[in-house]
Amino acid sequence: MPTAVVQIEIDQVPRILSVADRHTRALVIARRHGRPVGGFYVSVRDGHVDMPRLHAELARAIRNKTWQWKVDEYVGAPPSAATRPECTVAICTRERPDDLTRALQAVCALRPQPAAILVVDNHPATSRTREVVDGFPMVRYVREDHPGLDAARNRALTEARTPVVAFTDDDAVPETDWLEHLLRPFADPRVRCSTGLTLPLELETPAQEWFERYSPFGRGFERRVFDGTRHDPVAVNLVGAGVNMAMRRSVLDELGGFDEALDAGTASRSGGDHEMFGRLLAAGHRIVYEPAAVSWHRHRRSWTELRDTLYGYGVGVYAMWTRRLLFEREPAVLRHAVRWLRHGQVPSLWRAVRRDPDSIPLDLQFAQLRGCAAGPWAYFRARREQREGMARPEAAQLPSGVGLGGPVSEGAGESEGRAPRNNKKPA
Amino acid sequence: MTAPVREVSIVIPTHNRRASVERTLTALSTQSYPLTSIQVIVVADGCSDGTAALADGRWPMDVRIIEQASQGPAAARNRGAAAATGRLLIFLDDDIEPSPGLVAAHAGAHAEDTAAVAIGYLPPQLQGRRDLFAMMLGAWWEAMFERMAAPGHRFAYTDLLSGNFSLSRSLFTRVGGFDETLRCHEDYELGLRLITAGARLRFVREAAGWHHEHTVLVRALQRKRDEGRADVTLARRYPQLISVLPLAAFPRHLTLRGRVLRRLALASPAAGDLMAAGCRSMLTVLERARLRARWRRLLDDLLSYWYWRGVGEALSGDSLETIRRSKAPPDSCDLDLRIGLEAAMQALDAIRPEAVRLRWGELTVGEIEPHPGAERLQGRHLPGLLRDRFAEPFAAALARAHALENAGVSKHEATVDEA
Repeated sequence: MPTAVVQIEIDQVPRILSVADRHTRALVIARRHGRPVGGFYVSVRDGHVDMPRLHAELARAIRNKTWQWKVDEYVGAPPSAATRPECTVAICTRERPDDLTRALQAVCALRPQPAAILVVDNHPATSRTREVVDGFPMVRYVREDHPGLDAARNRALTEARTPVVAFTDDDAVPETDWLEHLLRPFADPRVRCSTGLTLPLELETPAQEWFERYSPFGRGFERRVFDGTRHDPVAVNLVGAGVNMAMRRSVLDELGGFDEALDAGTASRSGGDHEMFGRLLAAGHRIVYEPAAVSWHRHRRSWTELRDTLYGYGVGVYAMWTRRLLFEREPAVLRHAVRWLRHGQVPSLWRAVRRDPDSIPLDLQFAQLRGCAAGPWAYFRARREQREGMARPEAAQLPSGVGLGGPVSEGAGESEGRAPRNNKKPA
Repeated sequence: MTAPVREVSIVIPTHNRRASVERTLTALSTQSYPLTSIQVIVVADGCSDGTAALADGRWPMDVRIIEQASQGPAAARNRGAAAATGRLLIFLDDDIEPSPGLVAAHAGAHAEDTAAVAIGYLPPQLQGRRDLFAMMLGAWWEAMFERMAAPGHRFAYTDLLSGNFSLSRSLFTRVGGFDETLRCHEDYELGLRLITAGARLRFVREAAGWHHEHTVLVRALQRKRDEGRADVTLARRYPQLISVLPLAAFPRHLTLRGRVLRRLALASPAAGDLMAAGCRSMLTVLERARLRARWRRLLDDLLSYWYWRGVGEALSGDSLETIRRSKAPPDSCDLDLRIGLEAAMQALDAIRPEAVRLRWGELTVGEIEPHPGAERLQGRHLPGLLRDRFAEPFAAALARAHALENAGVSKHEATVDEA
């Protein structure tokens, strides 16, 4: 039963909302003066959204906010923060030319425009990514031959010449004012990272619907500040996701950048973004979740891809926890693992076995559990592979300890050798 | 021979930190402000490391070094200010590395307001320290500046940080400079006299100086003890401050362990010191085990122990009650927010009360409490307070007013129907 994704402006809700005939329900994103304020599901009949139901759900979603808005109107907007920092938008990609084209169109339409746009082509098998980028004269192409999303992210941080780098995925479409909102938190010097609200671009297949229900990227409609001096650095799930985040470049020097043994393209499959959030918080920094920074993500369409993704999440979470437990000696990880098992995974599995309505399909749950079990070993393998990759003859000049973040200066980059530099787009 | 008149005099008290002073002077020689208009006076307070030799004529600005026997930073600052000829005084600590725009930003802040006191920004530099204490320290500094930078912040005497601030020399002289009998909180005490004299404190982020922060835990605990002592002095001298000093607050937020420590600090310090030493080693264990929340609570308890220890020492047998008693009622007023924000702000500007009861018609929104040692309330304080502190009760009052109005309407309709 495909789900339509519709948006309404709460002060101008239309009398009739029509969607395609194939849809049986709609995910309604409610916005006020353009800011997302709530989301809920409403049934659809004969191509029309059930409006009485929509109004009831809307009233429930904004019940606690309407009077708060009156206060805001009375007081007026706070004086806006100083100028936003200069920013580079980076897209890390691998062999997805169609998605990338759409993402680049969105990124080139951002207002205000970023100082630079960077595509990091990760361990490419073909030249298709390069060909897509050639169609966008304002976009710079960089090839990173070391496989792994985190290696590509570090490369983006290294290549950028701006104090902040905003990351978006090749399968995401940020809104025009995405960057403006995502950069606002950086007026606070303690903020090292900001994340935004990621919504589903489409929910046409069961796989996409389950993904949105089971592990959505969105983290709600309230702004949240995660302060490392107070927040438990292991509890990072609510912080956000790498598909929609901006990072100060200084994290390269301060924390050594992303862990290149984590995330897509390595044995550990995912977890690189969350591991970085955790390390930022452990160092006492701040991360701000800013739901006004909206990006739309196209979830994987097929069931096999979904199962694979969830398996990868399981691997990634446990790989990340393995790092935190063994390499950062963070015992709280054990508590979190037990809590997830007891209050999340086991009850959910039990509901699925009893075939409760709305329980998560068993095969998805098993996929994730298998991933969790494989996670620690995957992390060790990824580390080994990363070390071996580093030790390749052409990478012989690599200074020790690199891998977690490379040298920053342009000159040092030349000698690094693990990736062919000078891949800048000919002007 | 008379010294040439300079626009700006920078006073830097120091005690045996030659390299650090050198770094400060080096940073000062790259200021965007005309160097010929800058006079730097370093007051070497009991220095035995050859700080005086820094005045060797290598600096592009006028640098003078005054040596004195060790008398503490308050006396050193007064001594420097007395020798200054500039219209504007900037006080810098010796561990500050000014940004190139620091002097210009300070000077700019006084361009239109002769009663201004500009407090500069001190971004902490922790030298790559990764321990929990350094992390807390950095966050503590930034949180303080974040508060001051918030639009409509109500400045209080505790906002005067002596590490990087400026005021006109005439204002400094008029209030009598620093109190040399204080070895701690002498900046707060000056802040109080400045605010009472009608000075306008303001935060200037552009007047930034990197603060090379070396404070370690032991030093912080010692400092807390000094603060306890200083607070007793302040409380005796300025009874109106008592309600905002930590020593007057009943330690309800303390854990049981914290209360035990406090009792020990006041009644049997020997046993208390022993227990505090035990807690300190416990901190190391907790940090190793990454038990951050417990570590934090224990640190809070320890800090408050040493605060109370200082209070106990300064009271020397006196009861806390004797200074806790005197308390004057604040002058307060009512403000009905229905007149609109503009009008409400103008009303505050006209009255400038210490405290305000906020209302929406008959309904109470909340009370802006008196804050001894802070500026009197002004219109510009109101939006921020409503946005941050009173947002919820204000929304509740609006909702209630709306409900009452509707009830009134329907009652009215009902009466009409009956008729």
